[in-house]
Amino acid sequence: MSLPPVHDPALDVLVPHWLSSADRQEVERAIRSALDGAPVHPVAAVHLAEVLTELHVAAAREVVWPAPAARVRRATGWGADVVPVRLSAVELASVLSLPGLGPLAREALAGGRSA
Amino acid sequence: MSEALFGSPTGLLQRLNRAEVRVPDVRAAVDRLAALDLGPEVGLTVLDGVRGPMLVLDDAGRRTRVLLGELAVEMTRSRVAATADGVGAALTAWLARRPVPDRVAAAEGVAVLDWTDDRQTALGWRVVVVRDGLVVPWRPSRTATLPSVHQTRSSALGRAAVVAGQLRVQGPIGLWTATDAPGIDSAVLVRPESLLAELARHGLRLRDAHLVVTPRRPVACAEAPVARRLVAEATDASATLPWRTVADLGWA
Repeated sequence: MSLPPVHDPALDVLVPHWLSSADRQEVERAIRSALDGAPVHPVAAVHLAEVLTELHVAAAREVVWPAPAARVRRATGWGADVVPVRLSAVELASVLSLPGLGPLAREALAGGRSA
Repeated sequence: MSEALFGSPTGLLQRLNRAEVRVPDVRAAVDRLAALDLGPEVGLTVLDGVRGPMLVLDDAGRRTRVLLGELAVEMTRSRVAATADGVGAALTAWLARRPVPDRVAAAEGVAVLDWTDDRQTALGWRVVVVRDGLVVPWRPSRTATLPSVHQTRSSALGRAAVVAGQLRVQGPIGLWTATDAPGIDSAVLVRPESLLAELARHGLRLRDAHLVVTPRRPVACAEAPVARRLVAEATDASATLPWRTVADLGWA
């Protein structure tokens, strides 16, 4: 019997979604209330937890390497609180499947500023 | 510590406006700069040699010589504007990046992590001096003896251990920023175990801590998968290493 290959989320292609501070807070709130509420499928729960990690990673990237995102903000005129949140396709789908996600954050993720 | 020789590159408009910097431009800028107070031990003089005028920079016992013609060519190549202000600013930037004298390195040097190669693949320790907010690497002069190099490195490691900094915990990631001076954040890694202990005090206990090191930038510390996520798709060069391997790094 062979084990399934270990899935490493970092090996998926991560696509940047440019989210404002309010968008990120809304995504975090929606995920936390989903995880705290009705039972979530374990696989979906893993993806949602990865998105929570990514929200922290996105903030950490701004501390360590602020220049690339700052260049994009200068070129686009976006606010200083808009940062790239890099999500894989399944992670994005898991967030968009949350019924409690606010319309503004949903718009920002689904179209909006997504590059 | 590779950085543009004459400061940040100029903007596109200036790059399009191509003009040649000539020796008299550089000489005039040297005269203007030499008239200012550059510090008690810094002296700038121009000597006329067989290969043309030569700039002699004396700094705390370390002498650097460069032909004005070479500086002019390098400035032209770096698209420095051939105006008094442009050449003056470039010369000031060049002076700020002048070689660190052995004596200054021995008295003030701090050990930080830096790339050991141009391709930015391997890290090693390097003695640096913070000069007017700029981190300048020390390369021993030709007259530095081996015992004095060891002594300077050893003192620099000692100073690195007491560089003050600030720890910020961002979810599963610890971020360390030096507060003494910008750009010497990796000095904390002369004592990585204390960084881990500090993280634990802040409530972040890592089982298999990995460090994400970018020379001159804050140090990130996280479990391996989170560290991988942090560096995935990053455009800046960085190195990710298990915290225990920091002890094995040599000198750059």
